[in-house]
Amino acid sequence: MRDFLNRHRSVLLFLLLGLCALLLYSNNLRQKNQTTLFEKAVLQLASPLHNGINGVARVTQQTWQNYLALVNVRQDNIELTQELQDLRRQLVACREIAQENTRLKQLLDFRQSIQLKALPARIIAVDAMSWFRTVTLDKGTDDGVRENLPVVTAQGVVGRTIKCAPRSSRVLLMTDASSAAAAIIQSSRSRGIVRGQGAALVFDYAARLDDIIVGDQVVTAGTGGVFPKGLPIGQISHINKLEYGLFQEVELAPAVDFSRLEDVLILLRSEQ
Amino acid sequence: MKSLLSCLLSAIILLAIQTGLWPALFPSWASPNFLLLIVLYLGLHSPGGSGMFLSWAQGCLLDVFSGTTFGFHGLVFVLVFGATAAGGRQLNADNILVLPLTALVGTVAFSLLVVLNLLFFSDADQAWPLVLQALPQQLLLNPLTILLLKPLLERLVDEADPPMTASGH
Repeated sequence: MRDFLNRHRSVLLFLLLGLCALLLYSNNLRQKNQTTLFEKAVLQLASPLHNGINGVARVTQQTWQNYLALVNVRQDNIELTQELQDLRRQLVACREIAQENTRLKQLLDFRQSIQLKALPARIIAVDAMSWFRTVTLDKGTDDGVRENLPVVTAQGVVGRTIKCAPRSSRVLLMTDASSAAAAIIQSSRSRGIVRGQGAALVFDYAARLDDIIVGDQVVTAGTGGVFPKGLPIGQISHINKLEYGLFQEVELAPAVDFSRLEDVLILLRSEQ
Repeated sequence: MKSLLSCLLSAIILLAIQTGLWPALFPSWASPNFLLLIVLYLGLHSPGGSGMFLSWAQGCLLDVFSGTTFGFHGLVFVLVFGATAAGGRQLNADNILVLPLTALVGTVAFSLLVVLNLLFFSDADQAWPLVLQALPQQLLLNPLTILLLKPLLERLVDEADPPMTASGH
């Protein structure tokens, strides 16, 4: 017996660890919305690292853009003086500040227009894998964030929080393939489920006889227990009405531009 | 214990770069999978129990920063490690071409295991076209990155599994 164990040690170890990995995974499949101690610890550990890297990345990005702009200016206008270069650099910086100001003002206006308490947050990291659509925010349980809270911008729904650590949290974006939200088409009042498909969204269970047209707005239905009613999700961009079957295939263009997300609002529940 | 911690800390730093710095400087689709490359290197050069456990731990680390289900990448990385360790025995790991070739085959195996895992177990079963869409970029980036990361990987593996005797080749 001991000989057998010694001879097949690696294989047995592999099988044991594989079984452990499968058990952990299957257990977590049933408890998706709970953040484990391990996840909390790692997120907490990585939070200052992410904030630091985010700061360095912003500065590097700005320096890089400014440098490139200066190269172009030199090529096009060799007689430009140092004074003009400084002014241009200042102009770029001012434009950046103005854009940020507009964005934050829109968020502030939106925050005042909604009934729920909203917590502004900044995106500090994106998902490690390109096929999952999640982002990490710089606010966590210390700020009152917990799992399953809606995350929005002035344009519409961004997603919901899925994992929370004291100073950071992760958000499942609407475009992720495992994301789903109860929704209503504003004009026809057809109810359905909006699911993510990477870049676009699909509206499932729209009855074939429902009168739906391209351009209709889709908003949250408020029945899923996460999103309040009436938040914009997107606009219908494509309809495929089959000649048979119960439902029609409806595609949406998201209201939020997920490729340019920087600042968001986390909607805290009233009891918080 | 020290080697385990240094390996996990390196993995966290690489993950922070992959999720924080990289997307700010390059397009989001053009990101190599650093942790997969560590697992593949461990499979080739440290095919024992410590490498296997480290692979699982790194998969669990990746789950903190990716996807929705904790344990998903842990399971995939254990399987990738097992396949690499089994296949790596037939190869001369010191050959310069073995490393990029392993990254190439390992990336395909990883993507297929992710797709199968998503289809069989997850509610994100519609994500498989996205995994396949990202495969060509990963096939290009991962072999190049593993060559660039080789000095770091050598150091990590030496710490995780110090060589006892000289190689007999």
